[in-house]
Amino acid sequence: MTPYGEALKILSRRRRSAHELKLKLKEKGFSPEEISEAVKKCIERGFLNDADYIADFINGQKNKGVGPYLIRMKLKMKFNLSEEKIPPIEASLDIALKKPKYQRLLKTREGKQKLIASLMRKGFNLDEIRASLLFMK
Amino acid sequence: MRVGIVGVNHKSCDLQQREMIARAAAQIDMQDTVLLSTCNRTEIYFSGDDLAEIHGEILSLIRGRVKEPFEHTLYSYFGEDCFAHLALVTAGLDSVVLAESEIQRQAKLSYEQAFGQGKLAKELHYLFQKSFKIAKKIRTSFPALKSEISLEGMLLRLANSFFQTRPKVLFVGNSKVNRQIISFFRKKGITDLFLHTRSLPSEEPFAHLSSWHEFDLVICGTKAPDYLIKAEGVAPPYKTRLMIDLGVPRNIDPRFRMHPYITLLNIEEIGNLIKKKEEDLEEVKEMVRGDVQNLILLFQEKEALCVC
Repeated sequence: MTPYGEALKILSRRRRSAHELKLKLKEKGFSPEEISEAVKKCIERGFLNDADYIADFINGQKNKGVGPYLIRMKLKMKFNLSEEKIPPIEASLDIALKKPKYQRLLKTREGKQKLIASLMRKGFNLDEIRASLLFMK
Repeated sequence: MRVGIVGVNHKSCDLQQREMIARAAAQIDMQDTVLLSTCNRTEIYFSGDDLAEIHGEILSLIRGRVKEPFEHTLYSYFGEDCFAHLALVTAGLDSVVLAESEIQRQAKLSYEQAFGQGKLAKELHYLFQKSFKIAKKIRTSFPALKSEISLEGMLLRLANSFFQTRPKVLFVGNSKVNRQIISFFRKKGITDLFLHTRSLPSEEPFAHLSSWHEFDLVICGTKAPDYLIKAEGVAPPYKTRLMIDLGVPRNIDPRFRMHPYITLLNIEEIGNLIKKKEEDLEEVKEMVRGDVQNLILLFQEKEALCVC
């Protein structure tokens, strides 16, 4: 199959970023010239649109309660974006804190410590977490 | 893309007819079809080289089992329209309760059931899998669609956005609309509700109209010919932050608009806020149409290259 045909096959299964598509095509053994031509054709035909995908991806991650730091890291890996190309992300702690498992943790001191650690792993800033918990009091 | 659908839903026919058609459709055993049967809809999705022939065959099978005339209640879509219809159905935008998510589970079960019974055409796999994707995208991009669209729901949203804690609410007038809002607010946990009424006794504690400025939220819904709450008379400071005037003619002096701390909204402005949701719905439909066209083009190009 041609690189373009293979690219269409990959894209018809699920949404991909241009970077992911390039990696997939590379795995299939196509040359860099063939890959860049196939990716260019997909972009021209409207089957690949990183700008839209980035916006949808950020929105989806925010709704899942993922913090800005983790979203930035995921964007770098998924879209191969440099630091300056990443759009500003304002993820709210409210969505994460509304989860029942976090609500339960709020009741004890140890629970709160666990909650702070968990939210930090989720990519939220420590100062913001502390400020939100103070407000919740 | 060679896919089609024939079916009925809550908008096209009544319960009795839906029952008959659902029973008849459940007995149809055809290759390359998916039956989506829920309490509010019965739809058969099909694929094949000659869609008109399959469509006719399905109709004749239903006709053999349903005695009463039903053709006028059916709707049929083909190709792109069929795709867009399934995407809207799975997103819950064709449901009785807007944006409900149960339909997505039911559609997935129907697809899995059809898949388990025999081999499905790749068009049907593509149709269902991509429709689920579009539905998911709609749910994440337009979460406001799921929220209440009624007048009571909109007032509750306003109250929640204005006040951090449960507000103390004064209702002026024992009108039907006020009674609906009171019962809705009570269901949603707002219990500090007071009512000012001329004569009728009511369950809610009575409050004098002259003390309106002691309440966080004031909702007026009477047919009084003149302003009941006038700008002059009570000296500030007011505790009130939000005033809702549902009366026509208006019950609250419009000069309250000039007040720096009070927001006054009348029935027309509330109506515009509700309409905003309908605009969202139109935007969703546009988005679905664009996504569907793109996905069909992708499928067709892929198929053309595979044949070569």
